[in-house]
Amino acid sequence: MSALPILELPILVLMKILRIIDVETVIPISLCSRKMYHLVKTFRDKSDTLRLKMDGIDLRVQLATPDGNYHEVEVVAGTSETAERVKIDGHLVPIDRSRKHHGWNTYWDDKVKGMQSIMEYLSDLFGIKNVTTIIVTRGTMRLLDILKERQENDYELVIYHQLSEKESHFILENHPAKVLRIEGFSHNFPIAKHLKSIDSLIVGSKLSITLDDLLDMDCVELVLMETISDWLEHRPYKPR
Amino acid sequence: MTSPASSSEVKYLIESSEGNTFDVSGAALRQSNTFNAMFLNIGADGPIPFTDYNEATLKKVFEYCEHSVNEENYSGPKHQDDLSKWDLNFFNEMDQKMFIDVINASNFLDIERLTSYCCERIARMLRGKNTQEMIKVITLPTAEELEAKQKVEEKKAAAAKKVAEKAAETAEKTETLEELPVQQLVQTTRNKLTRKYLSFSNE
Repeated sequence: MSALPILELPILVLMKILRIIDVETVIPISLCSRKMYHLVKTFRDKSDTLRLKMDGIDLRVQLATPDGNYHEVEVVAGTSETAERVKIDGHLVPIDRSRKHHGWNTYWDDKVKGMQSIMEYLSDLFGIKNVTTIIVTRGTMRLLDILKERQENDYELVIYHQLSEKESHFILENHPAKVLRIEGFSHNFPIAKHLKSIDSLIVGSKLSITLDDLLDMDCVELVLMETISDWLEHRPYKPR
Repeated sequence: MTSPASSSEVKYLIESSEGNTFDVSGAALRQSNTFNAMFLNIGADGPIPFTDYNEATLKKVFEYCEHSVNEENYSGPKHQDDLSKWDLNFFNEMDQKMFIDVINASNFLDIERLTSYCCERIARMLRGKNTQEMIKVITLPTAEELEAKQKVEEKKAAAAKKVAEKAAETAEKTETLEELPVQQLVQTTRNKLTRKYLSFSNE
């Protein structure tokens, strides 16, 4: 059975097919034509709560399904002569199947633009309103401006890479995310000086912050990893 | 037998597009929600006409229904490995045209299990393919074909526009000649001639 003109099938059948196919297949099928894109967008079951994650370290946009699986579209710098070309968010881009992970590689001249375009494409295709998590590095901090414009501070910001004090200041002042997971600030960086209130602050094990700093902050949820907890055991934290 | 019945022994006559009739058991036919809604309670006086579908397709569909009479109610997609040997054979021995016909008939007859299995089969066929391969499978026109089609359409549109313009021009001329009073007509002609003379002398 080689060819199957599914667009000639009754609309109810087509709807069923588009609902059954897995996320990894949905992406290339939506890239077949504008018509297919709109059909997938319209018929895809919206009750599945997919989460969108932008990873500025490995340069990929990930779709997380409720069963914990990740489907990735990676942004690779440069181009590929052998890969097929598809239109993503108005850009004609080479794309091929990734050998490293379950997903796709796309090739872009501007990596940040690529991340943005893929994020916009996937969020529109799957009806995901907001990006849930973003991991940034020095080179991908521009992504925060893009998120700020589309969803203000409603996301989890993750910083693993070491940032300078100036960059840390800049992020806290301009992009105070609702949830902040940090590891890449300098030790004893005065977070509270720039961030008076936050929903969740998760401090990584490699980072130390001062107790005074924690007490100065209006934080709904505070998670301190191993090192900090050890440190606090010697200098117990007493709520005011 | 075409009377209303609840017993699985009862047979119904089905009429295909060729006008041929054949028997189907009540139990098999009751898997079709369309049949249930239309004939189950009132019965059918004579053969039930499913004349949009040929005999081979209908027989294939009801073959499936007969086989799954004793199976539990359909409860969502099955994994390929969970399909029985009979199910696999049933799908494998169909060619593409028959498969499409079976999907269409199954959809019309609203046989949930068969329709779902067909959809799952298509979903499986698409799995692991890239965009170009999918375009081939679902027989969508490629970007080049679309471009060529667009060019042809543009040419056609341009030709149609030219014809329309010419027709409008002719109509305008006729209208002018018919509607203008004699004096004005003389004046217009004189102006045109003057313009022509001037352009000629300029050259």
